[in-house]
Amino acid sequence: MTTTPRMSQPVESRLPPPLCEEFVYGDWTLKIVKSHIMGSQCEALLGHCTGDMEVEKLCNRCRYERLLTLPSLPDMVFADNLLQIKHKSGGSITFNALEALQCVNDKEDTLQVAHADVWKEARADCEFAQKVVKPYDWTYTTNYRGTLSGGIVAESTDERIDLNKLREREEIKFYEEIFLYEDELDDNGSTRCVVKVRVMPSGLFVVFRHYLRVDRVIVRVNDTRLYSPASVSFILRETSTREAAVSNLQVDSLVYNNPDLVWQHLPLVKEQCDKLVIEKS
Amino acid sequence: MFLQKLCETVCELLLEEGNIQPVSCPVTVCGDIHGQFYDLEELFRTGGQVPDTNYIFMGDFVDRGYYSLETLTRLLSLKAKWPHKITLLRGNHESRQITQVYGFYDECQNKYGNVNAWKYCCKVFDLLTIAAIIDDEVLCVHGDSWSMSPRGAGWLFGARVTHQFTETNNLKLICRAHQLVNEGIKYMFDGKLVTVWSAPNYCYRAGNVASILSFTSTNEKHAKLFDAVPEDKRGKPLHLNVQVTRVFLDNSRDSLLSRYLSKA
Repeated sequence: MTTTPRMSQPVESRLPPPLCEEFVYGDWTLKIVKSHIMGSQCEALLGHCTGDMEVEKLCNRCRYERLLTLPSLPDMVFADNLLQIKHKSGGSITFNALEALQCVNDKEDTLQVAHADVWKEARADCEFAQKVVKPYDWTYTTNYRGTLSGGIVAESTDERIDLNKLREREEIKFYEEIFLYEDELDDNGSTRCVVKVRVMPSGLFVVFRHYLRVDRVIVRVNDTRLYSPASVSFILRETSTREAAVSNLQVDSLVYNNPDLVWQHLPLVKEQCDKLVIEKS
Repeated sequence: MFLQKLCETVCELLLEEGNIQPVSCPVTVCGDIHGQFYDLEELFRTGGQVPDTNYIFMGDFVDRGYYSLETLTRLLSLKAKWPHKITLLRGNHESRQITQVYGFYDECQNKYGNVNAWKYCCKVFDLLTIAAIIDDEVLCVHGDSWSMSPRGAGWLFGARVTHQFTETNNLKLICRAHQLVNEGIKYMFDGKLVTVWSAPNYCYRAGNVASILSFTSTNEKHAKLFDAVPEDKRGKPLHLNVQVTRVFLDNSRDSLLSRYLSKA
């Protein structure tokens, strides 16, 4: 790491502590952590993290730098945030930013911004303008589907989540929206990874959503939906990729700027469904 | 119209300034504000009011926050009244194209009912200074890059070029904004470059602190940190005051949230 002057005033003490919540729903316990974004340098309270320290002992920043090979991270990484759904027998599925980012392509970029050609042509004489340093998927698109742990396994299934049932008005016993990461693509659009959970008397429902908009180029939404009806020990999981070139999208900017609205207007490109089952001990 | 007159007055003042405006210490350097008006007032409480304190604002006054117009009007009024006590630099958001995507254009349309307000402000943007230089030794600029970005357009800051640039131009330091920093301030490249970020709890969710950098001389400087003004002490735009049922959208027909948002 470059030696840079340390802040004389520790920032951690000014920031509010993370919000930690638990909610019990039948045999499932939901755990939520919501906090501020990760710092831009080592956050160890005493001294500095070192290269020989175990991963679990590193501060968030250093842990991310150790475990990820991406040359840079999104502007906002909510490193402490998580959603965990755990069965009383121990099996769980968890969503967090680190593992979502581990699914990002760290070798290739596949998109260019709208004005790339014009920009390069205007700099045709400049040798530095022709070569990209360290390509990677700068849109931070992820195909993460959650992390399974303990006695829970994914099985193939024909069962589908009943979206009509979810449209019915029901009491909401619990609701949270947890940010995982976000970047403004240097004002060329937006990439956002968020997970939301709601619990109703009839079941619990999760949407893990990665939204990408590259202005005047593309809109893409990768969703993983989880649904567990009341009193069962399984979760249906459906992952979908929907995308369209902006030139093919005939919707208002209010719609394509909103992840929760635009997904319905995007053609389905890929889908994967399974059933997460608690193993009988 | 008051805003039109204000913009015309500031345009005349800006015509007198150079593209790189010389400034003397003592002066306080500030980063992005992005329409966070209540937090701008907190910034002035932290750093001192104009004209008691001299300021350089490094651009990005508008977009993303809910009060871009109020923020910009506040800064332009200060410039009109005390032109030598406040320097306003142009950020990448002070442009017609970006403000049409990221909120300022829409805010002008909503608050004034027409686009004239936006047009007058854009004329001011065109004349904003690109950089300021403090006592010939500290360069302040909104802040983009040097080395090809993988996005296909744009450069990235690099250590080598920063060192070369500061040496060639006899600079002690480059101050820039543009990049969100959780701690509010970040030094890089052996202290040759500093990022100052002045929008606390950015986008009302990042939870970061903000900072301003106060120079007594080009050798003596210290960062002043400040937090976002608490929820109960800040206003909320009308369209967010309606109660939003805690149902997240995941269906095609029942766009509850968009229905609530369309209520003025």
